[in-house]
Amino acid sequence: MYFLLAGREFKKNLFMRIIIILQITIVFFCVVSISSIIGYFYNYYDNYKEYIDSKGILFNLQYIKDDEGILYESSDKVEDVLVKADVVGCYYPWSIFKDANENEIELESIAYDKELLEAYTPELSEGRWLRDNDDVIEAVVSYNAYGLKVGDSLKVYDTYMLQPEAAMTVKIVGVLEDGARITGFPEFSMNSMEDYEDIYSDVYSDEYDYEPGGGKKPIILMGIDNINKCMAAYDNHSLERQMGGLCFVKYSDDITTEEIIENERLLGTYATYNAKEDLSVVRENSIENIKKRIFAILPIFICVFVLTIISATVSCAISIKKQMRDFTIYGICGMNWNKSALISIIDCIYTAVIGTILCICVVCLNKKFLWFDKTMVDLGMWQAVSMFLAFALYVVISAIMPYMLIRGTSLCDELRRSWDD
Amino acid sequence: MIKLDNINKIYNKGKDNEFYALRDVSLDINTGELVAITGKSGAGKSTLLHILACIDGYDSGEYYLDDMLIKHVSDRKAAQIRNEHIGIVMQDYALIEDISAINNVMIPLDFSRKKVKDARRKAIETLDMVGIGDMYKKQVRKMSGGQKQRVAIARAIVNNPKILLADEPTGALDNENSSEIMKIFSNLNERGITVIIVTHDMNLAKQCKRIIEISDGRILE
Repeated sequence: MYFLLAGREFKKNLFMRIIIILQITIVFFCVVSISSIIGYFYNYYDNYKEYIDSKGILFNLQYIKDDEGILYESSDKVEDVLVKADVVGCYYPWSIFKDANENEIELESIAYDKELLEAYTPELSEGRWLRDNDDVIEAVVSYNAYGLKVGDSLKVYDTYMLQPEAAMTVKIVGVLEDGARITGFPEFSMNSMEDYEDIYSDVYSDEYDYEPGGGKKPIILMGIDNINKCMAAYDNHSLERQMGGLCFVKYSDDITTEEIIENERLLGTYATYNAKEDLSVVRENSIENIKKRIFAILPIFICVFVLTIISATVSCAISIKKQMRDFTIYGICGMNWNKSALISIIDCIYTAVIGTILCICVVCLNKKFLWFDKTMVDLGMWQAVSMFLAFALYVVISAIMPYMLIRGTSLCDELRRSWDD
Repeated sequence: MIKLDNINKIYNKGKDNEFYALRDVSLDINTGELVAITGKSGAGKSTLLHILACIDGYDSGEYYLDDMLIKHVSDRKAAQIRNEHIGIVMQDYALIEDISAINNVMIPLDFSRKKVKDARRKAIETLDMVGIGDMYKKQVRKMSGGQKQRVAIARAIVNNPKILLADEPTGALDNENSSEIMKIFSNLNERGITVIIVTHDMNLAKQCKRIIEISDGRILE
């Protein structure tokens, strides 16, 4: 019955109700936007949190060789050399790519260890991210002037064309979104690894639209396990690979200082790198970076918080003022004053629920039609939690206000007031 | 049925503008009476009605309703008494204007502790009793003053109260409608309901079996 009465109150003053709902929708949209921004910063840290929060080292490797000068082709082999260390990283496969017409395609290639592949999926404009595949080497390419697209295949030959008959096939399964952020870096030039931001590179089409004589080479991304499996049957080197670029060396928790020193000595001997940083420093800088970004939007966050409280308070106060006459009538008919407050709360909840649904619709439509293109507004767990918190805040205020306003008066006062009116 | 014993009601107690709305009011009203409470504006009529209706409290004295002492009752208990024992009719009808007559009449049934079987039928019968059974679907906003007051009476009696309290029930009506509303009150009284009408209209008061005059918060009967 109270839900019915609240519904009846809700339908009254429809114009004002629509204004309040729009106000709540805007406030909730602001909450979603802010949480999206915070989530955006944090997600990039969170993807590799397992490594960043560990003891160890972050490298931008050029290469890593053994005692005999042979390049390491697998992180497992590096692990074997080190003590209590888990090594995951990127690879620079080098070879000659040719299209179906035997035209050479200039590509900058990066391959990932399985752990890195699974930790993060860059934004794709078409197709899908890399999967484990035993039959064909899968690849994702950046936007490119060659016109490579999903479904296209490339032939891969060894750099010196020694075994053209043993060429491998690479199938393109996805194309990166313009401006997509990828793990690792297509160039060796990265000289510092300060925080989580340095783990990634942004790939913009105008920078990587390689044409002979200008621009950078388009990027091709692959999985190292996929390459290894597909090449296992062939005794050839059509896809030469070496560890290079991003590399995490994560130590076990029980590693001793002596073992760390020994690992550092080994890496110092075998690894050639452009940048090296202790993971504890990367973590510290990363948290500082996230904090700095959050503090930058903190004033907006506070404004939205205050706006939520004010809008909830004002809308509830207006609703209750309008409902007082009805509550007086219900009182005459035998409903106690507390129940009137309950009706008002349910009414406010209806308003908040519709505001929330509208906000979700706006976010989804924004995503579909890209009204705010290149913004970070999205609806994930972070946003859902923050919207729920804003909703809860609104409902709490909606619950307090009726009790304050309704309990502060009496049926008799209201009758006298309506008589005076 | 109703017994008031030295009831005092003071507004702004202890302040400079302290005001006695009711002073040592003692009163007995028996079951089945048709009583008019008259007096000038500000005499204390409405205050007395609010106390009788358990809408307002009092500062001293005792109020018994069916031998039950009504003193310092909780909001919940007062609401229950209003719902089960007292029907109230106001001068401004106190109706929800944007819903139908039947929905207005069903409000007390909705709030009743005992679930009323076939509440809708009962509401229509009650509207029929006050002469507007055929208008049960009509939105109150679209009704005349006389029709609205009938709806208000129907709502007041739908839960079979023992007492019907009316505060200036004809104050906003013309003579013809006033007379018809008074007839309804008389009929209800004949059916055994105790009717107490607060009015400053002596013509209306004279149609009641008993007149209680109140002046400056005192009973002059």
